Amino acid sequence: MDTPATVSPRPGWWKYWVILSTRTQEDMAYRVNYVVGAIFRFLPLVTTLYLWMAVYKSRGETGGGTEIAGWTLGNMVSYYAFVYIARGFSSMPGMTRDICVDIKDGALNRYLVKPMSYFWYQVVYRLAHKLVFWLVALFTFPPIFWFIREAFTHRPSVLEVAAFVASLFIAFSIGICFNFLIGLLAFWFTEISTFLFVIMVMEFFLSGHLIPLNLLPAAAQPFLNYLPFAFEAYWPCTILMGKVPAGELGGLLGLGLAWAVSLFLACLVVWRLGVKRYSAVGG
Amino acid sequence: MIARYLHLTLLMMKNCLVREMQFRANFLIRLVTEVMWLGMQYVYLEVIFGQAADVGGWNKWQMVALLGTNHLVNQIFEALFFDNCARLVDQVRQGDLDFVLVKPANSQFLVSIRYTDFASILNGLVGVFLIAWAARQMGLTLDLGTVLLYALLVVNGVLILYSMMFMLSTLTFWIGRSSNLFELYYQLGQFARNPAEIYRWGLRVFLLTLVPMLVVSNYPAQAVARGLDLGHAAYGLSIGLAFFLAASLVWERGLRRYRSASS
Amino acid sequence: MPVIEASHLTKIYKTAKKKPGLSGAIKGLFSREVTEVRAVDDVSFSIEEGELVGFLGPNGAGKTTTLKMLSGILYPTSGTAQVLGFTPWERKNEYRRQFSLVMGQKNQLWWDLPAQESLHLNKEIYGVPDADYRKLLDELTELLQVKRLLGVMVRELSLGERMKMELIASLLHDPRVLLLDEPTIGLDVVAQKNIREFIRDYNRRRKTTILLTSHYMNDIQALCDRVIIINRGKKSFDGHLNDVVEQFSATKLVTAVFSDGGAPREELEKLGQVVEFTKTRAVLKVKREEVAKASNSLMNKYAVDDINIEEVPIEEVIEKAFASAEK
Repeated sequence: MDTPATVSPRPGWWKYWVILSTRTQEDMAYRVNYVVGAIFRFLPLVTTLYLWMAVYKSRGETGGGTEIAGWTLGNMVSYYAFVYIARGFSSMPGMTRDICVDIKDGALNRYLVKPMSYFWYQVVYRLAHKLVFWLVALFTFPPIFWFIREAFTHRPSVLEVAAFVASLFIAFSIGICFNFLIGLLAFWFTEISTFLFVIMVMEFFLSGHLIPLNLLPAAAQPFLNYLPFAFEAYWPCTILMGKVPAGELGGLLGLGLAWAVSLFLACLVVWRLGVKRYSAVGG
Repeated sequence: MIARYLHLTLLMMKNCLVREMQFRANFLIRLVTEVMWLGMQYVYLEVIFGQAADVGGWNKWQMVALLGTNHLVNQIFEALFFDNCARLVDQVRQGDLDFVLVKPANSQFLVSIRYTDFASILNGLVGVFLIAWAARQMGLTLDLGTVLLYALLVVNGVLILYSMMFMLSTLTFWIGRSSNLFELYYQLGQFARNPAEIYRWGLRVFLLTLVPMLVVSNYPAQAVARGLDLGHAAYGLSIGLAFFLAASLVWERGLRRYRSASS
Repeated sequence: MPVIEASHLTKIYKTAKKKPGLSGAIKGLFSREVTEVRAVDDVSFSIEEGELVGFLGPNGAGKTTTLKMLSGILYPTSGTAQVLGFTPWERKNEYRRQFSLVMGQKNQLWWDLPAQESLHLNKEIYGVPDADYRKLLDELTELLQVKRLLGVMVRELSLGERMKMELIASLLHDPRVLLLDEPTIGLDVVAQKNIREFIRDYNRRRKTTILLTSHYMNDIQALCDRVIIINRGKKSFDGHLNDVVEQFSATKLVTAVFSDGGAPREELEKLGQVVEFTKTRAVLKVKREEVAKASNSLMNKYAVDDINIEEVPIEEVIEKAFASAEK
């Protein structure tokens, strides 16, 4: 009799599913809080909108035209709205802190003993977090975007949409790898909360979250535009806005991918070094 | 009675200061991080004013004065009340208010003034520096009356922030968890940072009444940088008082739902 | 005029039930089932000045909840209470200045201050005059032998030492009513004894009305003449500790020490329930009314060296008392 090759349920996937569903349950338990938080997340967009409206108005009144660095008001508003999408993939709130705590408290021991890589545990954990985020976002984003629909003057081509989606995956990867890497510093330093804050501010600024990078001094731009942080918000947004020439898309995404891979490799290397130190010290 | 509460406040502050003095490095670190954050905001202003001459009728140095004022108000709030509001959420949730409630002193007071963060007070001074610098750039000479009005409105701004955040913390009595407090505080803070004039009238009224973020920093900044008439000042102060009273009311109602921790 | 008067105090808690699993959590976003828990159910009692009364009951019985209502921490669902003429949950300052609450294993002293500073802060909050404060502090720290610990951070004190400091903090403003919730819980035997003696002494000297909750029999036996038993929120007994035994213990323990052969088990079983049995010694549980008859019978029939009649251990009695309230 022919016995088909049995495919046993892959234990790897199953335990990740359990983590995913437990985490999702936890998030949903705080229902009012979560939904309210999801709405309040857009408050800064309101201010930004009015602020730039005032800026463009003033500029227009003094004969400066309707564009700033080639962007219309609509462009500017679109940018800040798209930043929410991009950061919904690349921002990892609390990740570095969690990792530091795990390392300091010795909770890492659990992960060194079990056949589950700590890195992938974090990935799944963050994935679950993002899943809940986007589940709720499916309800909160559309009304907001509809409300400011006049700003979306550019119809992205299929190529641009595809490039945008690709850039979101890159943003997610860079976000996770970078935050993981920084968190690993806890293997060597005990008091890094200040440093973490500095890094957070840096990431916030250099991703283009506060100001689109093209508004910064021209001299700095060649450098800033090609840091990994630029791929966490600036590039995904500008791709979707059609501000990146089609010919450059490939090269840009290639660079982003290169950053993602490099950071991933760095994670592996630094992790190994850190674990060695951790075990040596007797965590 | 006020003397008694003032005395208690100073006593608790003294205890906190003694404790914080043990962590001198912390002061410096906090200063550095806040200056960084402030610096970023200043860069934002520089970029904007590289492209336009005014925002809602406010020129660059008036905006800097607003930035400094906002920073000052926030730092004072964070020094005196923010931590306590955040802790309150946990205390309510875990039923840890028992001993606060049996003491012969106003429970809201005890809960709000428990910890003082002196590093933030130091940071607030950076805000003062910004305002002074902006005033100088604008060539303003400030008479005693304006300075006093400014101080009063700053205190008023802190009072409004406190009342709002305190009420949010108190919501824990009803909805079990208010972990978004930090986030909400920062999100709402955005509105305070910008001139009232940029908002359309509907939103502007909302931000001057129900969620008076514009009274918090705009009013004092205006007092120094653009002139604020007494009518507006009086309005601002009455809003502060109204919110403070509301906070006390909500607290009392919340206590009825208090569930002490089981032993 | 009783110092503490509770009348039909009731506290009902509503808790939302969470359904298990992911689908349950999603359902939980839309609707929730609510269950009611009667933590305190129609409890009434009155206590005169200077009494030292014990609240006895198993964990979760409602003793602490009752105490917290008397402290003004919790609002009752229904019922009234008067302490020193005040309604506790109105939390008037005049009331709060006259009573104290001490909870075992919970700290009211600021954790990160030296004990001295913590006590001083309390002094200021209660408005205790300097001279009185210094005198009382001296007295109390001497009595409890913790004077040398005044400069130590509260968090660095041992559990027993902390409890002593907590007691001192609670007495510095000379309260008329002292509410103690499990004050000896988690302490070692010596510390327990010290604190018990201190409380008893204090009550005798100052005539402070003291209400004490505990699930340790030793506390109650050592301190309280009067006991109120609470179980599942209901009061099942209010009276003298000895009467508890009378009411709930239908049997006594008869211990007979034999010389020369002892007694056959079957014969002993006719007199009562055999708890222990050896050739030289037997312990029987005998119905109260039949104790005299049984002991006479033993002494007449067998070579009894010694005969002893005792009450059933009070723990067993209390178990019965708790069980009786569960109807």
